[in-house]
Amino acid sequence: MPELDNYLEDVCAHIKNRAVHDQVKEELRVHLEELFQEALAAGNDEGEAARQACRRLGEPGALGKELDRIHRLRTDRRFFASLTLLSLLGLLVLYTAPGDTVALVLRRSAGTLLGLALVLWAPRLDYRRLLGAGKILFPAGLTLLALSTLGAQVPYGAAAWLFALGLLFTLLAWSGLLAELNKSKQQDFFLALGYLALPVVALLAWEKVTPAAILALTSLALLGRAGFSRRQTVLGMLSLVLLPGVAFLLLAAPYQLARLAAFLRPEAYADGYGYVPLMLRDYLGSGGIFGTGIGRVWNTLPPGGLYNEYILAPFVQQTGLVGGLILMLAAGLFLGRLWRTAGRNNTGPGSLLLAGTAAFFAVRLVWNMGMISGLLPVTAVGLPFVSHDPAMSFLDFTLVALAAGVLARSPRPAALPASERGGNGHA
Amino acid sequence: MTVDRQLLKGSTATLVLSLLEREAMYGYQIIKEIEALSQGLFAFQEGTLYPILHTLEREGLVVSYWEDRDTGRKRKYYRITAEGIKALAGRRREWQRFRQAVDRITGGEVQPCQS
Repeated sequence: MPELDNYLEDVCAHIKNRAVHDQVKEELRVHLEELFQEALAAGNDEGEAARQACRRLGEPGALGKELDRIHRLRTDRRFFASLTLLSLLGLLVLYTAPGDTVALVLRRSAGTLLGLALVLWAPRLDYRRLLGAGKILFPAGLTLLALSTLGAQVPYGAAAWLFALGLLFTLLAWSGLLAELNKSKQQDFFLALGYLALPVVALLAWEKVTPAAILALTSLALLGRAGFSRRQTVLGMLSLVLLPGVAFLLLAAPYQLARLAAFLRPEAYADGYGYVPLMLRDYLGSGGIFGTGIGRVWNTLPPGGLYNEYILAPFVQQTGLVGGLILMLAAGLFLGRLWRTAGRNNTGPGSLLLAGTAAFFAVRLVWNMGMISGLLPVTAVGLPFVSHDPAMSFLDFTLVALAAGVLARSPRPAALPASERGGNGHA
Repeated sequence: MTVDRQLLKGSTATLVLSLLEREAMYGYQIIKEIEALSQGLFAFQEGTLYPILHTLEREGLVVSYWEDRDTGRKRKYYRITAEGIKALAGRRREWQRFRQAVDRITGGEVQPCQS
């Protein structure tokens, strides 16, 4: 019936989120058709029956506006503000790194702007389709991780991007696959453990101990959110910690064990793996509470990690404990926002993605800050949104963009429609 | 006869949750149930139901799913969630207190408070 079609078009003309148009039309059409049949049965002709059906559903503009308000995709402003603050602080930290950093800062600024734009645009992308492809993403992620470890056969830059993409696919696959499992079936619990442990053990086998540890810790958050029974969750978490731990002891290369020893007694290895921990201690110690002042910085750290995993040390030296605390606060705000919103989403792959993303960032933030303060072993873990690592920055912004998509579609304490608020609704 | 529509404002979501607590329903069915149970007293402008249902879904109090019909078209059913059942219990208590207060003021019969 053209009258019914026109009515549905009128309603949807007011709904900006086009992704819901088909569902809204289908749902309202069923209702209109029932009303149409009712009116026909009451003895009206088709034209009059259609008009009556539309009248009973109400003015299409008002209905469309109400539905638009409910389905509008908004980026969580506080989440975006906390990300922007952390990213801007990241630029300042990069600027304070030793050497001429202006060109690097300019390049990173462009990347940051693109990343923030991606986060603003992302709610339009339906992340659920992506997470539905878990069975493809999982082997693809493993393959990319494997390719990134081929050493000299892959140029370093390409390896870093393959690795970042591999991590991204793995995190997405985990969220999608775990959400699909039947939580009451024992067999599915073991399947979940397999999904979570396989990339971790594979990374260990490829001597990527740090990423393996980061993924293992991230997998704990995903298992905790997956919805298995408490007993299964605890057992699973223990397995996910013990299995990689044993695998590390069996597969660790001698240099990795030497690094561990240098963490425990850096002075004994001052000419080797103990050098960086001792330097980091000096950087922090010389900063005091207010720092040495911007521009007054040493340059004794290995250049490889100067703008990446060690970037915090020169910043804290120049800005002191105060600067370090401000950065920690910004990072905490961002993580807190992400974690809180992850808690608001109780079910589904979106909730798992949020939990996984929050854990992935939290582990790296804590590790990097712990390593700079001498509390954790020194290893190549950069600070998200602060360290200069284009491939990892791409991964971080993509994860945040997907998280923004989840947030835009997540249940939230929405205001009731006008008809419930006592406005100009109808009853 | 219908009631003053202002009296219904703010209660429609509670009525909808109460119906969905019994069984999953689709929009038209909910309207018909409310009409039947209220003996025609609550007559809706029917489109207003959908913003309420979509808001409840957004708040996680109900979930929806599509079911095929013989005609080839699908119907969108709504089912209450555990969170929705909890919210409904709170709204019922609130409604009870509201009704008692109105009864006391208007001189109607006062029921003992159960909460």
